[in-house]
Amino acid sequence: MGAIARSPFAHRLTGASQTPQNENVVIRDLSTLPRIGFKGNGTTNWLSSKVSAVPAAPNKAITLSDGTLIARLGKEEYLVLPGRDAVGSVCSELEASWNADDASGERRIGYPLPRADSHSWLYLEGSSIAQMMAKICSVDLRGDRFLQSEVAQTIVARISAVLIREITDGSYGLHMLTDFASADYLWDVLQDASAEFGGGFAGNGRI
Amino acid sequence: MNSATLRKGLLIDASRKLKFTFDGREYEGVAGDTIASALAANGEWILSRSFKYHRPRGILTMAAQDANTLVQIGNEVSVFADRHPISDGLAVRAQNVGNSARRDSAFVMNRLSRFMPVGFYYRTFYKPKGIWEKVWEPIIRAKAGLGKLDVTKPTQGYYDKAYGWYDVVVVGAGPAGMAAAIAAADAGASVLLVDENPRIGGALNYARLATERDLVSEVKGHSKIEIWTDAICNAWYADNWLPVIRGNRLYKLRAKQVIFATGLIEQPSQFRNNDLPGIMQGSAAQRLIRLFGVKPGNRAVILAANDDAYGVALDLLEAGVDLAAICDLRKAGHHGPLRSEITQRNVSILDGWCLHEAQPEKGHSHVRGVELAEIDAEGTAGRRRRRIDCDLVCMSVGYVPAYQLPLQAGGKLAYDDVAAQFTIDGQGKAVLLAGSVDGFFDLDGCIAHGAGQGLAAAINCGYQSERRPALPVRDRGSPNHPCPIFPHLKGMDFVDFDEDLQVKDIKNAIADGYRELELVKRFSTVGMGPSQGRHAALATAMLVSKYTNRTISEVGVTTARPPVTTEKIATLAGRKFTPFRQTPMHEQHTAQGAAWLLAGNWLRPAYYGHEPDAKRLIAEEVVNARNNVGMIDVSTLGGLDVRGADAAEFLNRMYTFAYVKLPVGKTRYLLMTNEAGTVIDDGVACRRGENYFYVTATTTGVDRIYRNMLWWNAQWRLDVDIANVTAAYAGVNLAGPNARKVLAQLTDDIALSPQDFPYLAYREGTVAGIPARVFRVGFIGELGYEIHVPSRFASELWRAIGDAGKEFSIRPFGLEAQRLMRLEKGHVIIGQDTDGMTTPEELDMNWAVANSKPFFIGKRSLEIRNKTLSSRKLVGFVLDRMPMAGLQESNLVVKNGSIAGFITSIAFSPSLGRVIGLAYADRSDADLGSRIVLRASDGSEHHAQVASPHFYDPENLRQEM
Repeated sequence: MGAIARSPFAHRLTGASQTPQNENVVIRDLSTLPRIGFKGNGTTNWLSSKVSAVPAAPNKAITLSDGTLIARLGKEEYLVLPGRDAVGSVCSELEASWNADDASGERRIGYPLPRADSHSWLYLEGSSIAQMMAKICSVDLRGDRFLQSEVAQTIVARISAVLIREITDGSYGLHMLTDFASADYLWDVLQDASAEFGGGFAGNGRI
Repeated sequence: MNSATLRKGLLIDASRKLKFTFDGREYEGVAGDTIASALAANGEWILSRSFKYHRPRGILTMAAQDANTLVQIGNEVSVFADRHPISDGLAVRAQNVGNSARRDSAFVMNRLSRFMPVGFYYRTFYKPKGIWEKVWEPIIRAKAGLGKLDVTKPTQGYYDKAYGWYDVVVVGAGPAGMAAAIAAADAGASVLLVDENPRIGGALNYARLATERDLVSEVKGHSKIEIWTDAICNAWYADNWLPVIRGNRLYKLRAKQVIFATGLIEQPSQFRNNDLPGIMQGSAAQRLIRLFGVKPGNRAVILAANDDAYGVALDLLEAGVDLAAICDLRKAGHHGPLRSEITQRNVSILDGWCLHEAQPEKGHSHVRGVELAEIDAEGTAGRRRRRIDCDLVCMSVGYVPAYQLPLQAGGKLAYDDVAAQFTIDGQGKAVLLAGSVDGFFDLDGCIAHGAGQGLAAAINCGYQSERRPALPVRDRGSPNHPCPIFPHLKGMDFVDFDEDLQVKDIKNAIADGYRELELVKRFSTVGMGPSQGRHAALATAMLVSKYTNRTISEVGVTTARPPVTTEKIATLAGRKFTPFRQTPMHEQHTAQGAAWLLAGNWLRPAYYGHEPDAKRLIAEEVVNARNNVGMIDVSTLGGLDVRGADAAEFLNRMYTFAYVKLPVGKTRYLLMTNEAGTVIDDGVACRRGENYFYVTATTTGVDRIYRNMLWWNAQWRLDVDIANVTAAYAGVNLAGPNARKVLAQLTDDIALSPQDFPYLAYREGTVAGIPARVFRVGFIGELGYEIHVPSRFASELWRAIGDAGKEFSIRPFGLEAQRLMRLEKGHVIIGQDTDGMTTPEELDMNWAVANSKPFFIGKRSLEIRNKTLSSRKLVGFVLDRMPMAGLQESNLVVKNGSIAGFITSIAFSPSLGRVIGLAYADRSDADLGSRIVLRASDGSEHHAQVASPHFYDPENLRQEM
């Protein structure tokens, strides 16, 4: 494939954007990175046979040894995010593996979901993330309430969002996956919400 | 009236001078002053004029509880002058005044008050016929309202909202609230302490109260307690949802437990001219002295009915105010500790006397003296009188609990007629009361009660504590006089200051037959002003009880609804979130000059170009697509992946057509009806595999259709998985006679000849190097390919098609051109050409209904409805030219003077050179060649000829080429 994947935030990132003045709220666009979802009957069994572990319950996430983050969104629904500094290609490998299994006639292995195209992907980190999110999301995301590895499937500023608390020793980090087509809207929302903390967008790509 | 000032108070910094204006006159205040305190320090006591009679009004509570202090700042109306701080350059104006608060020519209304008895407006303005609309309503509308709002000015300031979560929220940071917060936090709960004042402490800050515990320091030093001052909890909603206004932000808080320690609201006494500036609550005088260092007057009379009044007396003496007399409503024998102190100060105390009348300065600018009366055996003002000069009257006759929030939380108010006291109960386990609002009046009792309730709240949250909540015994007495109302024959004994309602107004309302409190309220408007009955509800209940020979507990009080106090529309609006969606090609459309329209929440190009003549631009786009080649962004079309062994069966049930035998690699039209057989959506099903359909849905309908599918399959439990992939796939419709030539340049793995890729076929391959789902459909009636690709690559696809099409003069076309071309082709748009009753038969689309299927949603209803056909039918029609009056969608189709239907689509067709349209017409007029009558918006009627809706290329030669 010759074409280069484009982030839905691309035109905003290249324009005059509000950059972080401190480490309170730093927002990074990871939308150009791969991501994939699986759902449907048999997904849990199938995915468990492909990776070392899957979260034990819905709305939980785990990080595999290669940095891959697997979030369980339902009894039979998963979201796979590659580690942000990973060099592997877990998403394409899983997709190829699913296609092969499907082609060989295996049934009840769930179905892949085009999460890289249906959802934009932002990573928010900093000391004021929870405080900023309290302005746009009704879920209590404070560090001592929304613990590492927890997942919230909720509404942010009136659009659907998947929020995953990063599993890290560092500062508070939050993955936010929202509607691909609402990126421009979300950009304005986040610029506005982060302004009082001196926060903003720190460019795209891996960190 | 100009009193010397102390200017040393808890809230002010007397060294920092600030200048501001009131009604255009400049005044000097100090940092920490409110508008009211600064004006009082300058001897300016008139803050406003009353609603009806334009009587001068001044400080009553100093607690932002009354309408007397409402002023206007800039374009913001009804600001509490006793809450809003001054700042350098602040310009304040009085409200509801002719010239200024000092000089208001409308004060003449005071003399006309006898012509405006209670409810006069109900029986005065309706005769003769028409006079209300022509004369009275304009006058009353001009008079109504307090401030003057310029609605053309934008809201100043940035307003937004935020959520918050706490174990325990304590409302009110007085002694009980602070003790509750400490106890809850000590037990481990996260606590938010909310207080509307700039400083926590409540009455400890201004009243003569002393406690060994330094509660303020304890609260401030506690890591589990967050303190919000200047924050107003303005309501209680279900599940402890609390809106708290803090500056320009509205916080939407959730608390596991709420403790209302909202305290008491001091009540006025009713006597003639009880509204004069200089007459205030005892607590207001104390606030002026202690908080703002303002001496409230030079010579005072105190109206007492409790020991707190003697605390006021001591404070006044210490502030250098002469105490002319203390007039105690109680008979001798009531001796509290503060009274004992005052008796040593050689102050005249008149037990069993009331205040019968206050006498005004010229123009009612201030109180200049009072007439006292000994209370007779009936509890009314007797004949023994005494007159005293004074410039200050302080009333300390009783309180009501600040019950608004507890009652909103489900609490029920009862009245103890013996103790003259309200009680609140029944507000549920997640809402607790603490301190004086719950009938604890002495300081130690308040603190002990607060501590007990705080611990109880923490335990209710699940925190463990070795201690158990210990609640003190409630006081048996109360500081409340049973009826401090002393009507005057000449009236002006105000019950409700907001609405200028006197004792006789309430009495007359009852005499008119409105015996129930809620009826008295509605007839007289008592309690319906800005202060929402805070000072009128009890007095009204007392009067209703008196004049209907019932007890107050039998009469009750009126309902307390949110909000508790004034709030701005801007606060409620906050920062507006209006989501919108854009396709991945949005920036390219912008660069190409797109004019936007909103389809659902999608921004879509209506047409391209900046010329004012949009119709010409649209016609050019049509002509180019018809004769050459065009491209349109169709990414907004709904996209659903339907996968699983039962996928075909699932579609068979969801849609009217049949899909089980649809071959892989083919598409088929989709038509969906609801249970009533009404058409609700359409689209195309592409069979990607035996068990895999890619289904399109209308832009605005897809979310509903997706929900419908999930809902139905939750019952059917078919082996099928449904995924809404609308945003994941962007689409371009490449259409026109040269479409195949353009696409041929972009793909080498999809054979494009008519034989290899016929009309209604579906193919997968790469287009411009991008994996693509391609199907041949013909919405606009030309050779066309709909190319769907992953959204990340869609802008590249748009660019590549544009480049490939250059040699064919390709140009993009917008939604308007597409709608026009589909009308030429006679394709309906669900939602535009259908309504809540449309059946497939009315659309002549029975070809899309597989009646042989055992089931699809709506089948049974259609079978019934088709037995008795409706009277209408969707028909095509033509007109040679558009009438001058213009015809639009929704204009009526009439027959014999009755409505037969309406126009659903109408436009001038550039391809056909005449006006074409679709309309619901009488079924008997559906034959080709019939004449129907269209009624324009101006009422003119125009004849149109019924024609086949397939106006353009009826043989489908062009789209199937």
